[in-house]
Amino acid sequence: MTLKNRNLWLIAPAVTLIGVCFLYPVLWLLQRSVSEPVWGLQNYETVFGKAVYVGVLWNTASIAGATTLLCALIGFPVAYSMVHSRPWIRKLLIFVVLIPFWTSILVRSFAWLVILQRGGIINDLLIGIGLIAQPLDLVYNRFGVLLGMVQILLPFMVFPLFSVMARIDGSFFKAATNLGANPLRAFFRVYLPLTMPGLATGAMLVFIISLGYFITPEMLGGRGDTMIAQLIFQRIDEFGDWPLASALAIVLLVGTGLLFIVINSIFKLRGGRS
Amino acid sequence: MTEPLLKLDNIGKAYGAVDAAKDINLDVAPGEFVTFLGPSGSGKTTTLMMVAGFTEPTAGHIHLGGKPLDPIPVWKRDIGMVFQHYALFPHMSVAQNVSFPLEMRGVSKRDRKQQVEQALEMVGLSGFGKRLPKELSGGQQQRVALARAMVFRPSLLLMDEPLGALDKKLREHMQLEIMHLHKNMGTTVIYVTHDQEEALVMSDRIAVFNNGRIEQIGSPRDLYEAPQTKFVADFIGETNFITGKAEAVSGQGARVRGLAGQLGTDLNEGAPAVLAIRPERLHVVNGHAVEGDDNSLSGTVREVIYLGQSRKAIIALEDGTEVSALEQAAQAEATALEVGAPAALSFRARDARILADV
Repeated sequence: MTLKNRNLWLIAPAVTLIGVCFLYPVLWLLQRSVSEPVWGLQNYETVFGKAVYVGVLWNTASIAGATTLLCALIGFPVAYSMVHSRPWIRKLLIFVVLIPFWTSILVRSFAWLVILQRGGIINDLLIGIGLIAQPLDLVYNRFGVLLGMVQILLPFMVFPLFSVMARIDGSFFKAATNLGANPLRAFFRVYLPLTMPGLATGAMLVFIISLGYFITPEMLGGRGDTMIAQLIFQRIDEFGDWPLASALAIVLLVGTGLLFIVINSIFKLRGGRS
Repeated sequence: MTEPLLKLDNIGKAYGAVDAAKDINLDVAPGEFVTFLGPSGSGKTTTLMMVAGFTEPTAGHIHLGGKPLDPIPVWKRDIGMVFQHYALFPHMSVAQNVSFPLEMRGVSKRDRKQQVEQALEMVGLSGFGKRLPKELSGGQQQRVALARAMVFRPSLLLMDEPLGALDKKLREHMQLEIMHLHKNMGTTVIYVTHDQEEALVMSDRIAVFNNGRIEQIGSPRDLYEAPQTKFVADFIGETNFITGKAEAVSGQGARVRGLAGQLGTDLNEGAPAVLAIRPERLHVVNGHAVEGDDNSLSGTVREVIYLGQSRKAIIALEDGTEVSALEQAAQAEATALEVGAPAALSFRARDARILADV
């Protein structure tokens, strides 16, 4: 018996924890979703059949998708600057990206509310300098949700990108330009593909975390921005509708899992090639 | 010399008060293989990077094919380059890598395919097109880098210590292959290395760099047989130095401590100087030097090293200077040397160089 196998019992606490606190509740949810009010898939039929629920599923996917895209667009230059700046600027940037990360999501969402609402800092300022007459709707809509979520989730994009970019040898870019690529083509043909592992990891993290987001859309979103986690809460809190809530939770879990597997397999294929 | 392909006209690169390269003057003829040789930090790579366009000179001008190169950005210079660690794009196959420069130049897909195949055949890698760089050995990656740098037929090929990452045997093999490619293709090559043996084997001419300047430019034979500075004599091959002052300076020759040699550069009477003599140019005999004999030295045998085809003797002169003498096996057999015994060294004045001691 190898040393590795003999020490397998060391993972027992972790296995127990996951088994008791995760696997058991999930199985319990799964059972409720297919057994109440009678055995069958009626709860799932509701989730995928009723326009309201399909709308929420679509909201969830599109908000998560938009958040991911925005995080990538904003995070890429940030990570790039972090890699290619002097040590003290790099430290400063890392600090700036990390600070909000250490603050509670609840506090940050409230802070956005203070900044964005009709009588908030931005509107007061714009009206004060005479740029606008009526306050802008900056919150309780998709804009507010995306702003809040992008700000909160940005570090999940920046750090994987940073670690990948830091390992890219500068001579690849040099070689590309030497071989006749102008800087723009060198970027798209050589640099960007080399950052793919970081971009994919970051995108997966941001997208999957976004899918289950609750507090930010609840506080900064409007009626049309309800996400799946809010709907689950609503079904239980307002209607005590455990079976439908369970079905929604299982859909979220399975959807996330499938996505993970798909991205991972695409990425493994690429990873094997790069 | 015909019209030079590449002309470095007094170029230099200063970082603040530090000169990474200074007063670099060099003409490279079409088809020539020129090596930049020097220790690390001597300015050879800086100079290469200025030619490639990655570093902007702070002084002087570069001309390629008679046209000024300074205003042309890297991607329009039409200069091929092999990087130290090859810099093959890891996300592209071998064929895609080699095809890249052609694609950037708008060559049609069909022509690209044909030229890539030709280039891979040239470096002996036909059939490897679909592989990824990481699936190849170091030597094979080196060849792909060569194919990629040559496939678009640049007028000038730069190589930045391309064999540094390979083991000795492979390195020697690749040296020959690069030389053959150079001969067959007629490409003009600038090759950077810190390995003097490599430079001697491969080059038409060598520019020896030291402290950001070129110390001497010449054929391998020139540099070895007729070094103009102490640094060149020391850096290329093994040399014994006997220090003193320049005496009896006259036209071609001078003396140091009474020993006669050829003048490497102009020297003033009494200036600090060294007499440089290669170990294989020293003749060793047992016993003391004959008084009054020209160009002979007395000393004591310190060490005798058997090297198979030759023998190396380390002999301490009376003032403590250690001198090494190398003799071929046949010659060595005639004079058995014993450690601790007296020995006499002699050499011909035309084999010794008298150089400024700096």
